[in-house]
Amino acid sequence: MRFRFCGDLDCPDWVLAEISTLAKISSVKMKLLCVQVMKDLLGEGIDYDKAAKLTADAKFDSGDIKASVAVLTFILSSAAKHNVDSDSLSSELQQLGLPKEHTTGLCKSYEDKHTALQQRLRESSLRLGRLEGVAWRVDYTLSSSELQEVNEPTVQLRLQAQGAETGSTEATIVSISADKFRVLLTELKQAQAVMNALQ
Amino acid sequence: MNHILAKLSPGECPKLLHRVVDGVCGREPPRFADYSDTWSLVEWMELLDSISSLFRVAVGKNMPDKEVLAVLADVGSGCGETVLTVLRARREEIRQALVERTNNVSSSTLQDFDWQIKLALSSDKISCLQTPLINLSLDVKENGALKAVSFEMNREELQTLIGSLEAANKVVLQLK
Amino acid sequence: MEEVDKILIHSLRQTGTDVGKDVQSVKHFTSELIVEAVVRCLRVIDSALGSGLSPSLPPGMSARFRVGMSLAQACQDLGYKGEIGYQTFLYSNEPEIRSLLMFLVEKLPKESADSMDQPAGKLALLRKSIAAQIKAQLSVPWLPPTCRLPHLSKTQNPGPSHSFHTQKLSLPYCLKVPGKKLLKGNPQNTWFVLVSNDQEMDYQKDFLPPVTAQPSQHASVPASLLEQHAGELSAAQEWENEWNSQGLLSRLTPEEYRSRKRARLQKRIEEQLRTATQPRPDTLGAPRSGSDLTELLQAFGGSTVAGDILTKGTRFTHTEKFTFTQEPEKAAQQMAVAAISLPSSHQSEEDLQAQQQEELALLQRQLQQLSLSIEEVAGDMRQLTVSIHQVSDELKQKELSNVEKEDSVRVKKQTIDLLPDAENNLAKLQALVEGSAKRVVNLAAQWENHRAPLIDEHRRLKTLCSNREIESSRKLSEIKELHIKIRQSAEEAKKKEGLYKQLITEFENLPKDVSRSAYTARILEIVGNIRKQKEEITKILSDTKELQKEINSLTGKLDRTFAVTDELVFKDAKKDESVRKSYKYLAALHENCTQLIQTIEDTGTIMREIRDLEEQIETENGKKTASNLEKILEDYKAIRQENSVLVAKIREA
Repeated sequence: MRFRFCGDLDCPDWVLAEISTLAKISSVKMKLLCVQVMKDLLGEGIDYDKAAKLTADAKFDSGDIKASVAVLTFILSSAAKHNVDSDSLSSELQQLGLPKEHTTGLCKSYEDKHTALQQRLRESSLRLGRLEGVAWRVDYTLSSSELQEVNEPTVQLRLQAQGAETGSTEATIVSISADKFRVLLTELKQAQAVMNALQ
Repeated sequence: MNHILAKLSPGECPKLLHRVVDGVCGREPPRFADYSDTWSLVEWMELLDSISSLFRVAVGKNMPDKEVLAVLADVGSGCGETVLTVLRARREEIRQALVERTNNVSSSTLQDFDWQIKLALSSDKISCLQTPLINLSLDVKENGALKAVSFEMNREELQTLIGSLEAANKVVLQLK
Repeated sequence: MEEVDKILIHSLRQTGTDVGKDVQSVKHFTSELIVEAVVRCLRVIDSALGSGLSPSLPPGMSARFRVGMSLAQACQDLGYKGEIGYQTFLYSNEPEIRSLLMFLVEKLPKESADSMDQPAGKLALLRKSIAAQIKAQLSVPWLPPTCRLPHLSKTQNPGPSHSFHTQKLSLPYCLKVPGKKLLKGNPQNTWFVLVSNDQEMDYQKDFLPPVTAQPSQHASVPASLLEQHAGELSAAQEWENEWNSQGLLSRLTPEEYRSRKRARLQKRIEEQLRTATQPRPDTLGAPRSGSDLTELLQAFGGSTVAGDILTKGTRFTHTEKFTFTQEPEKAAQQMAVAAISLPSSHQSEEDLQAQQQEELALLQRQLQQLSLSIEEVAGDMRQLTVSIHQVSDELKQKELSNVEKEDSVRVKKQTIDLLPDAENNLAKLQALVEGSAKRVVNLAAQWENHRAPLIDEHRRLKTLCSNREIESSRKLSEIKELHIKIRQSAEEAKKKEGLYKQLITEFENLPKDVSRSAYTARILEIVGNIRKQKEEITKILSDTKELQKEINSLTGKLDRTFAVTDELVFKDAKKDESVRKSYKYLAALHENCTQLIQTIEDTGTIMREIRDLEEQIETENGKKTASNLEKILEDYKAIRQENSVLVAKIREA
């Protein structure tokens, strides 16, 4: 069997196993659990006490709670990753043995947060460094030890960037001559045009 | 130095001088191997040093011809005239080189830059990413050593960068 | 059939078969054409299968036979179910060829049709090409670096790891724009460079190496050239922008505009520096930087704005100027001394260093002392200049008051002189006053006379001036509008060009589309026709059924009537002899009628058979049997001849 929400691959065995665990709690409780997991995926953090309370009446032990959270995380993130619409997700989950009411609840919360979730995944995709801030200063050189009358502007640029591996910000300070600066700016504008054409 | 310069035939002189100016302007200076029969290595180094500093000072301090000639007084007048001719021909170029040197007084200067646009197709987080990214790498000369700095930016970040640079450029334009 | 043939021929042309214009249907296909069409189709469908086949028929009969056999085999490999053999190609008949060609055309890959259905956006195209490229690269096996062929090294080698470096290039472009660089540089240099233009040209002619030889590394030639060009281009664009937005409004020539801007900038900087240094001079805490800055300021301002600082002509500026002019001389002399002393220094390094250190310390001490004293003197001087200013101001004021006082004294003296003869003098004065009053009136009248035309003139000129102003501003706005229009039209032109290109590409993709729509129209028509025919057929069928029903009911009625009549007549026949006779007649009539019906039915069957046979004859005629037979005979003869020739050759050998 191939499932679209698994990226046209077979469903992992542990997911199959834990879906039956999910079926043990009531559909309303599962939907609330879904909301918690979705919060976690969107970066707002999960409230584990609430999750424990939601699963209390089904007499889940901590392993079951973790498993159900994990399986919900997998289903939601994987479906968003492969851009599956909620209808197909619903039918595929039912094929995997999740009761209909549970499926409806899950798919409803998936449908609501679908774009936000995808946006979040898009943002958290691998990036090699980000630009965080730019500061500049224009100097006008009047004279120097080399040349008595220079009268040329120079640009001091401070670029604050997040490092690729470390994640910490580091600043690069560089001074650019006016000519080079102009070339840099024109080239960057060209690059921007190319980029705009790509989107 | 001038008596050393006099060793060279007048025909060769301008060629050598132009090569020296090339060296001042950051291109390839003349090679010792080509002149090893005329001068010893010590003489050669000294000559090279003195001529280039003469050119630099003459342009840097905006020296009138007479003073240049006065410095070159003990050499034959032909050679002095040659130096002046070369100086006149290359004055603007030397000036540009000196401006460049002035800019290099800063602790870190931009030498070169490259950019590259990539279209990220897919990632472990999402199967259809389709985001264009620009990679800007700067070769920064920091205290004499080249250091490569690279930034990856998406469209918005590039927009902020260009916005700041535009603002700076406006000021630069006023100063020209 | 014509439609089908048209579609077939169109598809065959797309595969590269050279179907002549006069060939309108499959009926006109020659053997050569058939072989070519089939081979081309095979090549498109499966290049491995088709590559071993040649699209032209060889002259030899046996070779032809072999080609036919291999073609038939290839078609069967593709899954053609119909009857096929060498005869299909060599002794063609229309229906067979048509069905074969239809099979092949259906088998043609439908890539072009797929791409037609998708939206042909630029981005979609890019994505598709990326996908295709990745697919192609994935299908190529990885090879170790040493085994890579050139075409692989492009995709499998890591990209060039070196980055580009640029170097300044020297180009003889100054010849074209002599003014530009000079104005950017020092204004004092202008005369100099203009004079030395000849020398520059000489240099460019005799010594300047070509651009490709200028950078130290050959790899940086393109990068350097591109950067140089980009820099110049952007500079030109920026200048044009500025000129259009501000320069035009200032109503100056470009050179004037530049120099004015430069002067303004210098003034601004100067002022800022001055305000920054102003509070300093009296505080002795940091006199050095203050004096440095003023020095710089004066050197800076003196070069361009020969303004108030210099005209004041204090001793300070003079000394500044003096040292300033001496400096290069001194430096050059020092350099010369150093240069001469260098080779003669054969002392040991340490000695030299110690000596130098000592000397340096001494000199530094001296320098410090000197600078201290200079600072002191400078401070004194400044104070003194300030006091001189104050004193001279006071002096001026005093002189002014002096003059005033002298005037008043003179007036008073005159009045005192006039006092003794007061009456007379009063009368005289009165007369004088009256006379001057009259003169004033006179003069006023004259003035009025003169003034009126002058004022008129002034007004006229004023209106003229304002008119001109208005006109010029109107023209300016017109120029601006024109500029905007030019830019707009350029953009429009660009846009239209893009549109044109897009349309061209669309147009190139179009022809298939046209045939496609034509086909669909035809197909719809055909479907309509078929539906009509079907309706007719059902009508006929129902007619037939009705007839059958009628016949059946009539037959039943007849049977029943006959049975009743038979019974009645039979009953009577026992009693009456004449009735018996009539009964016999009745039986005979019935039998005859049955026979008649049978005969009619037989006739119908035979008629149908005749029609079938006629159709068969037609199809057989269509198969060009006679001509094919003739051909076969000829070919048979040819083969025999070939065989006999071969046999003769064998015998000879």
